[in-house]
Order: sequence, then structure tokens, then C-alpha cells
Amino acid sequence: MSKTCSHCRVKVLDHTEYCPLCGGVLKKDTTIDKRRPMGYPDVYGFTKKRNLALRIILAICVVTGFLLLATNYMTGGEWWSLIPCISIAYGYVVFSLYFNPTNGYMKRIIWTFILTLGMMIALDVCTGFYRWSVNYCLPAALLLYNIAGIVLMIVNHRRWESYMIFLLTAILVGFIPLCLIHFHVVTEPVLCQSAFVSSVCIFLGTLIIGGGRARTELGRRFHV
Amino acid sequence: MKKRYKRWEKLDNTANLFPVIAGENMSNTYRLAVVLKEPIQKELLQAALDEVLPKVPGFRLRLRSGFFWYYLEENDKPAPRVEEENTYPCRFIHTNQNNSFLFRVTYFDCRINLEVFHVLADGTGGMAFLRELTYAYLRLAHPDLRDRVGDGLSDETSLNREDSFLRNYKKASKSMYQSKRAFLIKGEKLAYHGFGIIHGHVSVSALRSYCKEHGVSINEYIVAAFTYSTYRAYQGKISAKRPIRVAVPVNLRPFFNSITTKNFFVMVSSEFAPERDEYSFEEILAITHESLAGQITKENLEAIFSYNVSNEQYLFARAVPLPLKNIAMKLIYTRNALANTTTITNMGRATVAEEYEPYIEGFHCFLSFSKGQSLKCGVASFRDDLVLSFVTELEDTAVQMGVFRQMQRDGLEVSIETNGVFYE
Repeated sequence: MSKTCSHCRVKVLDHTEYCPLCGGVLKKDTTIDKRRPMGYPDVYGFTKKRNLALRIILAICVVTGFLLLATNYMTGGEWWSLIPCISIAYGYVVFSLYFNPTNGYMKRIIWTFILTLGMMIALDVCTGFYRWSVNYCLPAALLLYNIAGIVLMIVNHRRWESYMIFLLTAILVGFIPLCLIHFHVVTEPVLCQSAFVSSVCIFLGTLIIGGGRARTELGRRFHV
Repeated sequence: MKKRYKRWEKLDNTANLFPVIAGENMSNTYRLAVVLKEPIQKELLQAALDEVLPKVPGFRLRLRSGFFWYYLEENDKPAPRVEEENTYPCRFIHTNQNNSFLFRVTYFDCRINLEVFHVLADGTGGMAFLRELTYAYLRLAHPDLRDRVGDGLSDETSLNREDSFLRNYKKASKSMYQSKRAFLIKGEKLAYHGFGIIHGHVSVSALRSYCKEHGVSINEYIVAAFTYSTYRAYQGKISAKRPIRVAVPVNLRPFFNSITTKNFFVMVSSEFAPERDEYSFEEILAITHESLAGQITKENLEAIFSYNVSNEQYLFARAVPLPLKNIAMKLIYTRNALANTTTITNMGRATVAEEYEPYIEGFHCFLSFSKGQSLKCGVASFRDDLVLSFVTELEDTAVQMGVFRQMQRDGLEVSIETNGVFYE
């Protein structure tokens, strides 16, 4: 049965009682529509549930953090509550990173490194800055990053050359601990220097062993 | 013999912009859809995609970022999975998902949807791929059809991937784009990042005879109806300082004898800057006709894209690292994007080979809304059915209502359907 809006004078094919344009109630008539509606999925309900779940988790994190800070403030003394608060914030951000299906594995890996390192440095600062984060965690993260690059190249061996840029970024990031050594933020430089040297060695090794494919990849990446 | 190196290609002049500005909120993805007379079978559609994709190198690509430019690289992964539509249309195509392909294929009931990231191809390139996919599907669903027409791509399809902007640009010219801010349609947004669609069906023959009578093209009529409807809905806010400006993409292939499947279009704009209080629809139709007809000439179109291409050719500009280019391009885009109230894209008449025609009900197209343009319109026709597809992120449907009411006043019978979000 056909339905028409008497205000807009258009036929409405949707299964509805009112006009989506003006909100007027539709008039039914006895003519049969030759065309049937194309139809679309109900996306609204699904999105609503997913957003609610995320908001509940966020609310739990915020309230827990607030309660810890408030307890710490009322009882006085050291700011011990910063440690669980930083951990909760880290946990939530990492969860969001992995929960979002649109984030690719490269983005997840790189951001996990950055976030973990950030959390370590924050914890170190909160507990008196004994520099364990920059002396040991930073170079360890760089070494792990290089190992991750090699593992990715082995696992995805058909497209290994696409990780050349991943290795190149390790060299660029490796300059950060070198600068920190220069400014005496890093007090035990051996690990940082080793991490940088290993980044350079791994990249050069890949470039030389990779031959034409490695050079073509760099040519593509650096075309002007 | 196994190929040693992967094929790669530079992005065309228009495509350079899309990876920079695209994201979850502005996907730069468009949808082309074909509605069949039978429900779609997932397995057959997947088989059709598996069959067609290896034959179309222009769609077997992935996006990579270099140090100075983005580029497209051959993608040798298996074809992306065909899924039943379960989200809003034109979502951002993440380059690390979907087997890294820059398009997705979904289906719903009798409809096959092809959504393409604009970096890959424009509507003409996309439509050729959708047509081949539909042919392959129908051949699988109806084996007798395969016996009659055989396998393989049809002779109307092009696989050409030349950069026609580069081939046809002449010399540096001054910018032809409007950068003064236009009137922008704003309002309450649909809940949960809703994506509203309203399709309006109109008879092509009736519309054509109306347009012929008034000496305008179908495109000019639709742009005028939109302009008039916006003018009526927001009369107090539209002035000579904030005119209604409708961007209209123009396919350059017929003008420059190109068959490329890459992007090859430019934007022209129809402008309506009111100088007095009242305008009739006929007056706005005449203004729109004058505004558009004067711009769609080979010389003018060439001047528009030559300016863009010549900017890209400066070595100094080319050698700027990509992150800095991105910042500059974003700034320029933002300025230009706010210079248009909307975009109306007309794919024109979709044609299919005679053997497949009995199985096909219709085609439609639309593109995602973008910064400043909360309401856009796509137009496509098949046989006597012209479909205007309005997409919006706004709850208010006053402009769409005005367009359809105007059509009705002009003696055109209109049927509408929506994706249901306006009833929530």
C-alpha cells in the first residue's frame, strides 16, 4: 500500500507512519507501490551499546583515581596515589588503543612502546627520579623496538622491505638518549649507546643484505 | 615468472590532498551502489570480487607514506572480505585494515555497495569497477548468462592509469578557486555520529522535459533547487557576504579525451549572493545556469587544474618533508572547504550491457559529508529513474524537504526513502 505526505506531496517508501521530511502523518491510499524500499541496517542501536560500555569503563577509571587521590590527600604524607593513578590512566589508554578495531598493528606496537616508556618515566619522576627509567628502560625499549622490527620482517617475510622505515625510525629515536647523555640526564650511557649502535647496525645490515628490494623501497619512500 | 619488485605509482594531483585531510570525521570516501532485482548471495559476491580484482590493477593498490609524498603500491594480498552492511556508509577506510585495500564491498538485501577512498579513483573509475563486479556476480548467479556473454572484462572498461592532470596541464595560471567563506548549513547533529540518508526518486524523462522547456541542464536544475531551498530555509542568514555556493565536480575526461581510472575532475562553483529580499525559483534557476554554464568550458577547466599542478611541480615545494606539506595542505583545504555550502555530484546516467540490464533495478551514489559541508548530494540515474541521495549529519531536513517540494511544484512526482535515522 502506498503512503503519501499531504504536506510535501511525496510518496514515502519507508515502513513508517510519518514523513521524515516534515514530520506530518502519512496518508495511506490503495494504490500499490511498484518500488520497494532498499533498506538499511539498524546501526543506531549497536553504536549506542558500544559507546555506553566505553563510558562505563571510563567512569570506573576516573572515580577510582579520584577516590585514591582524595584518600591520599586526607591521610597526608607521600603522594603514593599518583602511582596507581598513572597505572590506571596507562591501562585505560592502552585498552582504548587495542579496543578500537580501526587501529592497525603498527600503530598499536609503536604507541604501546611510547605509552609504556611514558609511564615508566612518570613513575620514576613520582618516586624521586632515580633515573632508572632513562638509564635502563629507555635503551631497553629501543632494543625491544629493533627486535620487534626483525620479528615483523620474519613473520611478514613476503613484504619484509616495508619495515625498513620502522628500523630507520629506531635510529632517529636513538638520537634522543644520545642527547640525554649530552645533557647529563642519562648517567649510565653504555646501554643507550649500545641501543643506538645496534639500531644502526640492524638497519645497515638489512640495507646491504636486502639489496635491490631494500634500495627500491627506500627509493619509493624518499621520492621527491 | 615471479615479479621481483612491487609496482608503485605517484598520487595524482587531486589525490595528494585526500590522505592528508581524511580521518574518522571526514572520510573522503564515496559510495556507488547497484540495486539488483534479487537478494545478494555473499559467497557469490566474494567469488565475483576474487575474480575481478586481479584483473583491475588500479584497484589492487595500497597507500604508503614516503618521506616527501604519499604513494600507491601494488597490493598482493587476497581480496578484502565481503561483508553484509552493518555500519553507517562511507566510513573512513583505514589503510591498515581490509587487507590494506582502499575500497570495501558490502551488500544489503538486493544492494551491492562499493565504497572507495577518493585517493584511488574518482566516480568514473569507481563506477567501471562496480559495473565489472556486478557483471561477474550476475554471471556467477546466472550461469546461462556466462554461457552467452563469456568471462572477462567488458570492452567498455578501461584499465588506464595515466595521470591526466600531468599530461594535460599547460602552464602556471592564477588560482581559480573561491576562498571567501560561504554560508554554511549548521544545526543539531544526529546522535552517535549518525549518518542520515534520504534518497529521492524522480522520473528522468519528466525532469528532462522540464529542463528542456526552461533551457537548463538537469544538473543546473538540481543545483538551483538546492540553492532555492537553502535560501528559503535560512533566508535571514544568507547575504552577499555569505552567499550560497554549491561545488560541482566536473569530469574532465570528455574534454581532454582521457580514459584514465585515476582522479580526473575539477570543482566549479555555482554562487548565489542575494542583493535584494525576494527571489523566485525561476530567478535562481537563471542565476545558476549563468554561473555554471560560463565555467564549464575547456579553457576554464584547464586553467583550474593547471594552477594546482603547477604548484606541485615546483622543486622547492616537492622537497618539503611530508609532515610540513600536510600542515600546509590542511590549512589551504580548510580555507577552501569553508568557501562552499555543499557539494552536488552528478554521476550521470549509468549504463550497462544489454544482457545484464534485466537483472538490475537501479544505481545510486553519494559521498561522505566533510568539514563545513554537513549536507551533500549525489545524483545518479538508470533507465528512467533518477536518484538524488542527500547525506547529512544534521537532524534538520528542511533543505531536503524544500528540494523535493520544489520538484513537486514543478510537476515532478517524487518518492523518497531513508536509512531510518530520522525516526530515532
